[in-house]
Amino acid sequence: MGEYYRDVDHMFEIYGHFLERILTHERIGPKMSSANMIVKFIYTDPDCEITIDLKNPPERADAHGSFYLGPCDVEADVWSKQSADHSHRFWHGLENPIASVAKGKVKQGGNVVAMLKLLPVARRAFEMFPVALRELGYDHLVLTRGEK
Amino acid sequence: MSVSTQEPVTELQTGPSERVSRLRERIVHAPREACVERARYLTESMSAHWEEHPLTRISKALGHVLDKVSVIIREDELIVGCRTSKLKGAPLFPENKSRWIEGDADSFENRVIQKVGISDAEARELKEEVLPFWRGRTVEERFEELLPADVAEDMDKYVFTMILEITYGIGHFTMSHRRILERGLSGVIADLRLKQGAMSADERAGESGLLYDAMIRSLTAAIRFAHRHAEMAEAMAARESDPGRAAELEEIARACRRVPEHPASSFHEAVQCVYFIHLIAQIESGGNSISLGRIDQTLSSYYEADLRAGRITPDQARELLSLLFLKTNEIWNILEEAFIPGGEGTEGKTTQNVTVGGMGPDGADATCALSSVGLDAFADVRTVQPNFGVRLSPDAPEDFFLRAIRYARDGVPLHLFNDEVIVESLVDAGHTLEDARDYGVVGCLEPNAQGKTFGSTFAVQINGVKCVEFALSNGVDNVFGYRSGIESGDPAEFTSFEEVWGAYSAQLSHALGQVERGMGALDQAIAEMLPSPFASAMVEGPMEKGLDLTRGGAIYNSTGVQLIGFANVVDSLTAIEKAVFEEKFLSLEDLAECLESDWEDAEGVRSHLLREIPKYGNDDPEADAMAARVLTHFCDEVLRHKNIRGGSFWPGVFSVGFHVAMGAFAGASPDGRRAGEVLGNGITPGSGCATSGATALLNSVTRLPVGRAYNGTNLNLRFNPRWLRAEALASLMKTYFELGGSQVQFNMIDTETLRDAQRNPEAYRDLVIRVSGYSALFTELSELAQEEIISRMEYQA
Repeated sequence: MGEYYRDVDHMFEIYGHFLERILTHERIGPKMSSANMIVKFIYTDPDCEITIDLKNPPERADAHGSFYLGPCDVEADVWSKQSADHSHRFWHGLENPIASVAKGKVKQGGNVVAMLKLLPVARRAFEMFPVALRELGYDHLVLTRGEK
Repeated sequence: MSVSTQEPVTELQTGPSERVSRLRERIVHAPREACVERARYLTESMSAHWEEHPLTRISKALGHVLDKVSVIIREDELIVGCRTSKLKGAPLFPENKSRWIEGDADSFENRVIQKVGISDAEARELKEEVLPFWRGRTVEERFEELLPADVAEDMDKYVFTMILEITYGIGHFTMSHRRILERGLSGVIADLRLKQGAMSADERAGESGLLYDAMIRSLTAAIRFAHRHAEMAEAMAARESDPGRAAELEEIARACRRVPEHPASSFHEAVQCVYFIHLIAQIESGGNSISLGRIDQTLSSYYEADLRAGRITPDQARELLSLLFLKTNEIWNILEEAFIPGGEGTEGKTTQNVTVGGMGPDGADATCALSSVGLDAFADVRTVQPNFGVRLSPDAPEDFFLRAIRYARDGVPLHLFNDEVIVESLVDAGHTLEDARDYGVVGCLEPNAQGKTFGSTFAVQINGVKCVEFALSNGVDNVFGYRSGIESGDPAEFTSFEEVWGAYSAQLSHALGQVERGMGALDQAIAEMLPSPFASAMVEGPMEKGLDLTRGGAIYNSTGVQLIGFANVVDSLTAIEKAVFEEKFLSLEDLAECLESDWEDAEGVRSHLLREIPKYGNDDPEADAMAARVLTHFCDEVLRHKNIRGGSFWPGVFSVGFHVAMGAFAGASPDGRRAGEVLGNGITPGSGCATSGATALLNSVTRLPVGRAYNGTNLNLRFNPRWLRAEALASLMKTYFELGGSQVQFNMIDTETLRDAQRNPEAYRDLVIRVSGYSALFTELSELAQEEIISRMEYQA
């Protein structure tokens, strides 16, 4: 198991809350939905997957997209595979996405060019991830630069 | 140019031969596949000889590959030679970088962009037998050892890219085909033996001696490779029941027995010789964009001799050239998926340039009968490869110029080069006048002395808009929020535009400094690990100096650095000067906040900057003056830097596909552009910004000091062909070149057609469009890249 997550349930708790926060965020949500695609994140340690649907009408009226914790029937346009720990650091803005792909820490497939459309929300999402962690009482999982 | 635009443009003699049509269909619709043969045989030999000198082991490996790779002569072919066992097959170059192949091979067939077939057996062989050997032995790993840590960190910020990230080596050169045609490889070998004979025993054992050995070994292998084709053709002829095809196969056999070993004695042999040399250079190394250069000047004397002797007709020559051009479509490389966004298209950046027309070394116009034949031959195929250019001297024959214009008007994907500007530019860059006049074009549009240059023209791309971003954020990346640039001052404390300019300049200067150190490490890694003895024997200089191309053996050695997002840099700086310091519309601090938040709650500000501030490309003196300042400054900065091969860094402004990819990584810019949006391509104004028409645009472009950009500039123009007469285009281009334009390329296609192609891709499988310096199949681009093409201004004339 990795450094930050106890198990799949622990990970789903944190990412479920984080995704809900950004998909309902009045600034971040609309920008995410404009990407108009479905992304599947495949994680290792713990092994699991999370799918974000920014293409179909959201299941919740107040959200700008839907997400699925665990396997789902939605067909992804693009997928990204990485360790859960790497993802944790990434959402803190501590992992360079170019270097991650170039050095093989992240594997991507499908319409990888479409992923570029999500870049403009990166900074706001990075700001939101520690907020989500603190809201769940996981202050000890919040990372700062130099800590990774 | 002696062109009268009053006269109607000559009707074209169109129509490919049936053979060319069949072969064109076959290559256009061929599936793209990976082929493990080259990697297999290279690895076999390298593992057996790894302890030997790099020159020795690479030349032995090339020989082993050329002795072992499949020799295939396909139905209808007259010009033969393949890199792989597949028709549209890509070899792999694990000696350059193998990590990505290990990671990507399993997903080759599942890609959306540049999907590649690979058999289970080949994928398994790669993983189990080829790639394990290369762990710890690649150029990439040596480069990483040599690369300073701070440069390595900066490389990942996407402020600049360096060539090994996006291709597999340097490439980007033309060869001295005329020398090979006249002397044959046997003549070159004789020259090398003379050199060896004049050396002492110590010199023979040294670097130069080993280079000559390696050259001879490589050239001898090239001759054996051609002979294998002769044997195959002879065997096929013996089995052939159709007497016509049997005769063709016998002719192929005869040609392959003669060239490249001996001087060519006919046009057919000359074409076959050029293709063998072109092909083998691209088997030796993974460097992309090895180019044919001045094909008409190379082959004209053979054409004229055959014509005089009644051995050939213009149509037969046209067919042979078409077949040569079609063969170049078999040459392509698989891109590392992470870097596909930097150069989308089916060919993986193997942009093989070829030109016709232009002046000769004596300055007189050298356009010849074969120039027009070549133009017709390319119009017959209209494929992604080769990247076809027309050189125009001031004395270009009127009918030749109008023929090129008519083809351009009809959608043939070509570009035009202005000799007058380019020759002056190359002389300024240090070429002799004769060499400058005899320039070939490499890759996208980079001019340099044909067969005398190792220019690494595609070495570096720098995101200029990112430098503006850092100047207004004191070095913080607005996309990711962390520091990526240097601290160039708090913009809240800037009191003049010149302070902003100073910060921009400091950011650019820092990036260029890092690039020089990074390229030094990369050039050294390539020179240490992968010299190119075959290519070194094909370019003038290495034999004379006793120095491999990768170590500076060529006569001319440069390193190309391209500015990406030129128009956005210009328009952003104009916006700051006007809106912040002249109009006092908003403070610099407020502007910086707008950019940091990607215009949140600032649509009014964005709209003002986007619509009310003059934009480059509209014949506006202020905006155009800023454009000239930005380009001059970029050139001055780049030219201060030297490479380790004894040459200078050369500035260029063409973007390949990086205006899409680097735009995605750039935050909002003061020109009103939102974060992530595409950047302007080449020296073309930003999408939707040049609203005053084509003439105004060309007036703006010709105010730029394009001659300082030695590595070339690219202007893209899109016209709706329904509203464009060839005469009007001729007039426009004549004026453009008289005013000092350097290069231009066209997309003659309306938005409606492009939208239809998006909806019905199968119906547009062979729709070729110009991206920025190169061609690609429209339907195989990503949606982002397709939208960028569609967003380009559509002019009427």
